[in-house]
Amino acid sequence: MKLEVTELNWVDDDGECSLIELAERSRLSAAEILELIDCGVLWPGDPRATTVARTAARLRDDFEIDLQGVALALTLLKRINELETELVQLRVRHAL
Amino acid sequence: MKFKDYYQSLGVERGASETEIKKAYRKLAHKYHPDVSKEATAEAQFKEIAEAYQTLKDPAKRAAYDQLGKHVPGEDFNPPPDWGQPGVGARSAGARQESFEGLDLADLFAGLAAGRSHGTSRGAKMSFPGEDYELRATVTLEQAFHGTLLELNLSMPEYDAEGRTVRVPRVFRVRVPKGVTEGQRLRLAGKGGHGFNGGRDGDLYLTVALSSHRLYRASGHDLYLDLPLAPWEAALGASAEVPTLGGTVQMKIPAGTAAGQTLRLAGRGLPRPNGVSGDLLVMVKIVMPPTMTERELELFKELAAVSSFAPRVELLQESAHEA
Repeated sequence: MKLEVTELNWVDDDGECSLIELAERSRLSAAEILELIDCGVLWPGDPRATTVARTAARLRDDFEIDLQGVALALTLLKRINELETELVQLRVRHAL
Repeated sequence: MKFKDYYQSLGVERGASETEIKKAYRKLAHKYHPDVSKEATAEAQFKEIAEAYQTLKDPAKRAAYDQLGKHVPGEDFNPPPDWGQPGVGARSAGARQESFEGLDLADLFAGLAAGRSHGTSRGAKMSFPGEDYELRATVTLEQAFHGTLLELNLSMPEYDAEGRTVRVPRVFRVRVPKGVTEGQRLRLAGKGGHGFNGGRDGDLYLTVALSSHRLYRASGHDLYLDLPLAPWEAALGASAEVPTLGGTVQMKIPAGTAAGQTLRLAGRGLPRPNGVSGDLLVMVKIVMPPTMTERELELFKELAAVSSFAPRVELLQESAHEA
């Protein structure tokens, strides 16, 4: 069995990657990334760009939906995520 | 190789139409997709559904799967000797899989698909990027505070020199620097599946989950701690020993501290990758001694007699306004 010692990168901090790198990491096409940018769910320099783009690719493939559907799902997922974060903060503050 | 009943995974009959298979998959995907489901087993459930659908939605793969016959799920089996011959779609006659030991059924169909697509352009070497892998790693607050070394054990399908699929155990020792928190995503570049024919290697993605702690509750890089105080400590002020992840510190409790107040120990939370640490937020709880001596009771009675403090005045005024 081979043991590999490896270094890791912070995904949420390497958002400054190029369009080509983002396409490679997410397996979206450059055109799809630009369409998601037009929809306002991704933006250049977004620290979560890799995470969002990878989720977009999974939603596209697993649900066989078009980019508009993906963009809508991402918007709603973002809202759910924000609400859940708020809920966690409230629980933590009030020891619920 | 262990048998998996793909029809059972999707909850359809063996004779189900393509439309029925698609419908069943969509219904289950909405329920179990890891991006939308909060069920603890969602990831594993979705993997099973997706694997079944990948094979059954493709008529050629479905025919090849049906050729395997019906076995009890989980039962060890080997494909029949004529399995995967032309007409059903094999990698190539010369590259027949000889050993199925340790292989996953999904690898077999992945190999079959690769064989087909490579076969269509004989000689022209198509390259494919390696697969990306997603893993969850649970770390304790202490590990997040100090940084830690994680050992990840994975079994990845790879192609050998003859293009056969083999399962290879891989162990990664990863130094997780201090500063991770719940939901943090980390990428191990090039540590996913190997690319095929010069395609780039896939990546390995780790999502960090913090395990719950007996004392602290984490919110981002801030930590919350309940601090019990005796009524007289709250009234008169005190110097309290407060545990932090970096060791015990003395904290000055100001006189007149009320229950529910939050005191901040700046920079005593979880470190951030940029070096600025989160805070430790100390939440005051006023607790009573479980039993009191005669003398203690006497002193409280004396306090009750001399104090003119009316803690519920506002409450009563509010209720008078409402009336």
